[in-house]
Amino acid sequence: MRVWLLVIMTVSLFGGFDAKLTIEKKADQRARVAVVDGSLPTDVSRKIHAIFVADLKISGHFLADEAYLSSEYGGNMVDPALRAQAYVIKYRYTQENGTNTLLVKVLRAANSKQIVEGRYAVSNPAKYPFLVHKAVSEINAQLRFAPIDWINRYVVFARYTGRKQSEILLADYTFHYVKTIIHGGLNLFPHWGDPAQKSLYYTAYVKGRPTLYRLDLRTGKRTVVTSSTGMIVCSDVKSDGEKLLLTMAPDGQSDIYEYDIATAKATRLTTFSGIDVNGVYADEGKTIVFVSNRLGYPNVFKRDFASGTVTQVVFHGKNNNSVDAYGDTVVYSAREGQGVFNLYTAHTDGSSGRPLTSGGVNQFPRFSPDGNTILYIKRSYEGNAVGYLGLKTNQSLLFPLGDRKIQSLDW
Amino acid sequence: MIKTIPTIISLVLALLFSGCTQQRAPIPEGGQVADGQVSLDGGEVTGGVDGDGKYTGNDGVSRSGFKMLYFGYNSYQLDNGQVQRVMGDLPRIAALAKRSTIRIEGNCDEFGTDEFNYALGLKRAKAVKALLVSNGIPAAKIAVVSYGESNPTCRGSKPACHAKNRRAEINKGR
Repeated sequence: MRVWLLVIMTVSLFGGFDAKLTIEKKADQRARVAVVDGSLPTDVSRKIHAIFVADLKISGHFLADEAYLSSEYGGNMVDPALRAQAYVIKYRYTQENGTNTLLVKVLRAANSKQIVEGRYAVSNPAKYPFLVHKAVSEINAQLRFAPIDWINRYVVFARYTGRKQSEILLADYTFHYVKTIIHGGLNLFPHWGDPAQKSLYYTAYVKGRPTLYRLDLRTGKRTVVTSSTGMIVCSDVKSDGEKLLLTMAPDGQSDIYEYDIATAKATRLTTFSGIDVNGVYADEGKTIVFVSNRLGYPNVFKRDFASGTVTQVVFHGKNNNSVDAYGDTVVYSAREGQGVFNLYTAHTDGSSGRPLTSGGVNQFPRFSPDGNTILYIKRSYEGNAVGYLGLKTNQSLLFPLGDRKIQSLDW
Repeated sequence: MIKTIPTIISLVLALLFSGCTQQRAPIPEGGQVADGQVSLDGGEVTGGVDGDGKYTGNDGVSRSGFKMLYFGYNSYQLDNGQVQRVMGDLPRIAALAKRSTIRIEGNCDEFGTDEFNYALGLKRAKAVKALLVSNGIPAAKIAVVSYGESNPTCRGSKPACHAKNRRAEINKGR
């Protein structure tokens, strides 16, 4: 009983992902793996090693040895010093004739048997992180672990570069690959337009008027969707891609609208005289959750499509100003004092979830497409970092982002 | 049409799927725009912050020369002091409205999430518009817009510096 009390107290004191006890318990269930660089070691090949370790860690299925190891790629004999591992992953990265290739094989450490082999190539050398992500997601699948395909996705984000200046960029989830795609003026609130990440929506100001654009990433073609005085933001895209949740202010009053792409008609969903923003589809599209100050402070509410009724979702905190949803689970950022923002989960029926962070500035939470991982931005004196929290695995990762302020992001 | 819009979209297809090296335009740094100076450290901020988080200094003018209007944390209410600042400028604002349009820009500090901040900035601008309309300025002459936290006048870490950014600006329309 005393042991259990100690466990409970430790978890409640340090909260969710900061509870080392939980992480150590999980460690025993993960497969130990060493990663060996079989390339002629370079700066990039060493970064690839670090990305392998990160991918394996965030999967929650592997306990990756962080030590950088190198040896010949050819030959499958496992170094006796690595026999304590379950697996050894060997890779070789080459850049020849405009092709960047990653060869990967997985050996069972106990008997040196090769159980997985793969070859991944890309023409753009800057995109080498995606080769690693693809390799690890396939190794994970071959070993029959739960899918982690989200690591192959792009993150789209906007960051400020000056007064009334911001740019939109693409990145891999570790932010080793970062590419500016839109710059000049204010470019805000990028949001993926479809699950396959072939298009995105974003806001720009045209002669001072907030305008929503759709950008086709395959053709580079940009089209105006709609515009509004005051503000316009695409907060969410329905899973079929046919409807958008917009925050607009045609009369200077910000409310949430559902915009039908086919008919170009916007239906007003909220009518509160204060602030309603950040609409997100929840409960398989039967409701939206959103942020409103209708109780005098920013908090999370939901609106039922069938009845039109609005109910409070979060009964914690006095400044909850950002929300995302997956099914009936929401994640929100709560301001808890000067310079402290923490992430929590809750459920659309009003029941509470659990704390995910315990200190610092943690904002912009976004669920992965499978709902198992949360991306967020952590700000500190050292600069910004993108963080990942595995809801089932209790694994967490942080990657540095530099000191430019992130405006918003989508995953 | 696209060429008339200052935003530049790179050849996204090439960026995503080709082996081209990254071509970035020079990224403008903060404070380069003409509409007022940006304080990097907040060192020259002369005012303080009241209990509601509102800036208490009398300094700060928009690029059109009208007094800045300050707000408390998460607030879009103009208190008596701020109303008096508007009333002091009202004759010149009315004169401007006769020959041009007026644009009210709402702004926020860096705290909170940007979507909420953009809506908050808009409510601040709208509160100023309501005051002007109630004092005889035609509503049709006034446009409101929010810049959220994208347009700070002070980028230091002092509370008074953040308070200076919780503001609305009255400017000549475009």
